[in-house]
Amino acid sequence: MVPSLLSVTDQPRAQISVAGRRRSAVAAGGAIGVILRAVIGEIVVASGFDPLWATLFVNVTGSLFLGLLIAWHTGQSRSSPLVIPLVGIGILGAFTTFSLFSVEVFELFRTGDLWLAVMYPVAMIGLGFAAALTGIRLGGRR
Amino acid sequence: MTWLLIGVMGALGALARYGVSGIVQRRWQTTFPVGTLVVNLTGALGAGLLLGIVTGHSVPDLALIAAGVGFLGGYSTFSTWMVEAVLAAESGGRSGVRRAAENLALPMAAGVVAVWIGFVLGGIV
Repeated sequence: MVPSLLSVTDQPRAQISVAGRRRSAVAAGGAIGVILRAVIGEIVVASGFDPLWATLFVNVTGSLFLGLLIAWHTGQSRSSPLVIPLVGIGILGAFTTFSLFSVEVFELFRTGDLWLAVMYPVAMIGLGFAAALTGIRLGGRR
Repeated sequence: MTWLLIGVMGALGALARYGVSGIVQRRWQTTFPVGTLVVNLTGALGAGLLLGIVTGHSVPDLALIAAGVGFLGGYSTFSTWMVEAVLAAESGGRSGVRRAAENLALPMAAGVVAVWIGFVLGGIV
């Protein structure tokens, strides 16, 4: 996978395969998405909020934007083939997180905070699903 | 320096997700979004493993940030899971309760179990 990244500088543009350009777009988007989430995490914690709020915020807004993007892209005939790999799979995929979310729920159970251990995932999935649905509805409007 | 590390590891994580979900989805040949599920469950397992190791040992902050915030952050995803769940719900077929359980409740429960397994294994290491 890495050689395709290097090839961007090593070869003329025409020789780079479509698959290679998609992978490069996913990688670039992944870097942006992860850094964005880390910045938001720092801001939320520095503002005195529980880090759980940061995860809730990125996951819900990321689901909204991905819903918007997917619905908008489905209706587009002339958008770049790199938009979904860069913004959808790369940026929004990496901006949102399942692993940290699962660790947070596990830690709530482990520390005995059963109320939050149930309510946090219910809120996360309820709001995330509603956000993705809203995005798909809004993005599909012409 | 830390931001650069997070960015590079995030890029690798996203690439790994793209590769793994593609391979899994092609092999299973199903409309169920199994690629995202496999990525997220292995990501949760990895995060649990990291948590277990950190609990028992002193791990350099930079290594933890690179693996946890960077790689696993770029690897696992919530937005794709939600959008695929909405699309599955809208595709009709079986009852809404059954689809909600399949696409939302089961992946969530499996994610927490995966963290737990990783956590136990990480404690043994």
